[in-house]
Amino acid sequence: MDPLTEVLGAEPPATVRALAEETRSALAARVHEARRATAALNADAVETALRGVPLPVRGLVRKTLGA
Amino acid sequence: MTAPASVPTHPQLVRVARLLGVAVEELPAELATVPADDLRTLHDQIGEAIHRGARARFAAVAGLAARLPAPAAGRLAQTFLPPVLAARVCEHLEPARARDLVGRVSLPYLADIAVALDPVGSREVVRAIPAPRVGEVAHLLLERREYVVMAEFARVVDEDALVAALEAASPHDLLCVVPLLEWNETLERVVAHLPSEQLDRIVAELDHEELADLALALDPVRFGPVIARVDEATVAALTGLLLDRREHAAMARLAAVLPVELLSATLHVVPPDELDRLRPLLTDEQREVLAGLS
Repeated sequence: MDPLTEVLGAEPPATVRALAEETRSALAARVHEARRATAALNADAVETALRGVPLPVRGLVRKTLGA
Repeated sequence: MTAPASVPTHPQLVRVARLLGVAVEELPAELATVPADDLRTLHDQIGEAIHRGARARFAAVAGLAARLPAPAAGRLAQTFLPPVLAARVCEHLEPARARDLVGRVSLPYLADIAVALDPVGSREVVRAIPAPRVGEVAHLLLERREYVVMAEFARVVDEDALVAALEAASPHDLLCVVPLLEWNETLERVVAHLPSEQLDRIVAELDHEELADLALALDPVRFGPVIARVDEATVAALTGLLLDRREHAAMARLAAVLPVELLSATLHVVPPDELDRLRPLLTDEQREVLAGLS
């Protein structure tokens, strides 16, 4: 499967599919990298939130965030 | 005086690059050949892909924000939720709750969320924000020269919010935002009724070259309210600039909003060879004015 389609989970527009394979692969790599960075940001946010949330609402936040 | 700012040449590329956390120059150069609408679709697909695994968590945080008292929810969000994630949570907020929360967080935080937000995916939330608050956020975004962000929001906000946003724009901001706008009926109405103070500032602060740029970006037929405020010498200068730029069709459209006296005075100073190029593009009435000059 085309690496860009795979990482997007959907077919990109035809004009994007028509780009050179090298371009699509480079773009797919960028999306993978952005996913990793966002996942890390997400995890950091949860960790920070759990450390800093006032005690009365900490349980609620922990449960909500599934942490 | 406002320092000159440049108009992004490919706004959707700017959005894709921002989403990927890279500079536009770091994107594959071939991407610039993709039409804007397809880049917008690609942008949205990338946004989905990046946040796919966290959708349930964003919805849960939105649910939490709905259960906490608004002041506490706003304070907690601003303290613990990075704007890029808050933007995704916004997609799951009830519009009424969003309306309440936007007054509970700081403007810089709100502006950061706006930069990361998908205005189309969050249309209902965006439209729930009170117009005065939209104006405040717009002011900050314009200070940061986030013209691409402003243009994306202009696609979805309602008329009052659009008025508030554009009123926050200086003439030089307008010069940068207008070329990025997608025209719709709401935008047409708002631009046709810009406040007279703003029109006066446009005339006072933009030089002839910039006025010509704005006329072309707006399409000269929307330039009537500005033209109504300039003198004969300025119209002559604009005419000269448009013809120098080989914008004869635009000049013909500008002629459509010129009062007859100004049209007559302007055509009077256009060189004969330029008049020959212009003549086929004019209306019958304008050609009559032209005939009356000879």
